Amino acid sequence: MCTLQIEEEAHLLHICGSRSPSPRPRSGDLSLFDICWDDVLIPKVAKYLSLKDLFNLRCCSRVAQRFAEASLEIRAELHLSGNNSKNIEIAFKVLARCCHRLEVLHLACCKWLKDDLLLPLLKQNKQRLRAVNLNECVNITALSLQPIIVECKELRVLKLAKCQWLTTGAVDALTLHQSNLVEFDISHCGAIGERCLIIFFRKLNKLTILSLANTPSVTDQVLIQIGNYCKDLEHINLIGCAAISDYGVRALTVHCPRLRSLHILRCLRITELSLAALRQRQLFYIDRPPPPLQDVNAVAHNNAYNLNDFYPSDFLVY
Amino acid sequence: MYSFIPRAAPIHRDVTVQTSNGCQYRVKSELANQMVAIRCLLAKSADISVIPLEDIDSETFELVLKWCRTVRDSKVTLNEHSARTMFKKLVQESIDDRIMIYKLILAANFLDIESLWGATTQHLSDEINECKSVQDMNKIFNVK
Repeated sequence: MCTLQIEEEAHLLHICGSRSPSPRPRSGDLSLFDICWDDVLIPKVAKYLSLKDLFNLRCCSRVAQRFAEASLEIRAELHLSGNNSKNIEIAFKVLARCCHRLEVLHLACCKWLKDDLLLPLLKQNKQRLRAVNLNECVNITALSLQPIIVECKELRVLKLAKCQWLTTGAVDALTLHQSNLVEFDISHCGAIGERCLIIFFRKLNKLTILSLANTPSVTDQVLIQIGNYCKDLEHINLIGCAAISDYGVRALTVHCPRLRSLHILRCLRITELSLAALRQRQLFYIDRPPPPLQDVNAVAHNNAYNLNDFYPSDFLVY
Repeated sequence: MYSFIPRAAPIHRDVTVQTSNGCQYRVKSELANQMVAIRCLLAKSADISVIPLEDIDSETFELVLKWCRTVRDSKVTLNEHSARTMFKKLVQESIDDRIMIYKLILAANFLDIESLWGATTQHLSDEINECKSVQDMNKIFNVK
């Protein structure tokens, strides 16, 4: 004889003739919203519906509106990246009011997004958010970042590329409160200093994906720090970081055994002297193709004199 | 990928069910095993001779049996895509109004038939996805 779970016992009682908690509609009157909401419509149907479908349903009737809003309440992901359509702010206010269980929030390139729109959504969802993408959200400020940094304890992915409003103070706060990030993007954030980054990577040592493209303060010393502390690093984007050289890349090669891809376009001071060792690794991707074979020796000879010409820094550690 | 949830032991005999309008059906064990609620009931009370299905009429139950036979006889692995295709075929062959689809959803929920539950709810959400406007939704689903 098997042991039944509580919900199975309840179900058995029901099929043996006990009274149903809700009135049963006559067959001829059966409609979409007569199907059980908690057991069927919301967990099984609503999860396949797009935001467009839910907002259309909201307009059909009061019952449909309640259903749409009940579906939004348990929705785990919100993808509005690049959506700058008319009336999006009004729709976003509805989402901010209804969504309570968001885990993934993609709002990249939402030019309309401001602090007063975003803060209510963050307040409702801070417990479960684990991935937040605010790339190119140019009209919000560090004020919106505060609840994300301080209260989103489950946060693992944070993308803030081209957020020129991102300050050193905000990154210092991240260092203090968010040591479990695995993916971080601060490409094109010119206001962040070298020292701030060095302290940041000392603490955030669980990073696997990192983008620092076109961040002028990324130096060899920063790469050494990444190599020393971010041992799990797998992908790093350093496109346009003009200050880095073979010295920094070599630190990554030696200390990051799991590194699988490296983006170094427009990093003119990086040569095959440091890249050759990485190319030996299986399944390793570098965005700069290897030079033709006959040029390799010429490159090695020419660049031998550049080894000592690395970016000097007050924090250089031997 | 759909699979049986082994909350109760498989049934090894044919079972008799009675629908809400009094019709009785003898259901083969390999079809009854897809209905987890019936397995659970028989696991608790093995000597039940006729299982009452108060909320399912005979027309709906025949379609449930047709679905279960299709799943049993299917040569492909049952997953979301294949279930969607099989259900569309069932709709084209045997279902001519939306109310029957709602009844099938209720029956699948009642009898706990995971494959039918997934296929019907997926079909319903596909129909909602195809609506281009609020007016389409009002017309197709009679939502007022």
